[in-house]
Amino acid sequence: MFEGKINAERMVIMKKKLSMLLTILIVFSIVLNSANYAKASAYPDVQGSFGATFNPNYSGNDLNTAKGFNDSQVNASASGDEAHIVFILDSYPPLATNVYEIRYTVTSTTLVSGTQGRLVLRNANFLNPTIYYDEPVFKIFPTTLFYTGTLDYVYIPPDVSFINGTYSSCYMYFNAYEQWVSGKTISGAIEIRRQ
Amino acid sequence: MNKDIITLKEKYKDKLHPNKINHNEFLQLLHKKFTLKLVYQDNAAYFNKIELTKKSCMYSSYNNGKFKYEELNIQTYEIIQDELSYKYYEKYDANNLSLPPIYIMIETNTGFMNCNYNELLMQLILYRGISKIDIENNTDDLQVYLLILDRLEGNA
Repeated sequence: MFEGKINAERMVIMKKKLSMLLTILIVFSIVLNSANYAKASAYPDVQGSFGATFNPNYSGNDLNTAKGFNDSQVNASASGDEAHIVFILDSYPPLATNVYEIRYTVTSTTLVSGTQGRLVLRNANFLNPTIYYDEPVFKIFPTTLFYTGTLDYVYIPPDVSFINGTYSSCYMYFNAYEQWVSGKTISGAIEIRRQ
Repeated sequence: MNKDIITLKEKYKDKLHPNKINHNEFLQLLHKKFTLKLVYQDNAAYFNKIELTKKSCMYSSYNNGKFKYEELNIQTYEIIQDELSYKYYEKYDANNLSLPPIYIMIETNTGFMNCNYNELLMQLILYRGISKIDIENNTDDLQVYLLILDRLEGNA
């Protein structure tokens, strides 16, 4: 009976120890999770892109239509050779605070080697328009059907959540046609979500 | 704006000589021009960019269906900021944004290149040179070479 009492006391002590251990584990887990969250939220989530379509078979701009807003699909209404360019902002790998890589991706049905135009990035506040990037673009890349590369880097102030981008006077170089083919000026919005 | 390849070829005939160098010669040249740091393949900061460069190479005229995606081997070099690279870094980070290092990615089988600074990428394509076959057959590589020459001469 005495032995049974000792065992019961040991069980209570064991339970207390186990409970303490569990508490420590839970606290540790919470701290670790919040640290991971902080690490993840240090890099803003950038949503959206905008792009332009180039079609060497048509000289008029009316057929060179393209949508902005997350649209990376070719939208020209006729069949034949087409190329599409999409711009995105990228914040990974981590750059200096509020600095973003402007990346462009070209997809084409035929070989292309370059693009040129003018890229403007401004805030979406019409009452207080501020331009963050306004530069001519001239990019030559190895001849390909798909290419993604760094266009430049841009500083976006921390209080800005929406960026409007415009790619104007734009051209794509089509190897088979040996010429720069014009595209319609295209605009789109990019959202920067900061946590 | 549009000048066909024959017109450009005629315009730059004095600068068009077969001078293409192979991968090893190209690396030697790069090591002479810059202080390079080889980036390990498993470097997390470059993983996504290496994959995108592989994809670009896969669909390029450099590969032309010769190599499968898994056979492509990308070597990445960071250009150390020193007196050799000073003139490039000065323009690359003209706005003092504390940008990441300039890097060059080279696919070792095909010679496909990518770089986060396009002005340098164009220079690298010129350094790599052009072959007699390219000049005689007006290939895509010749078009790119001529476009860059035209750009650097201030005419594009």
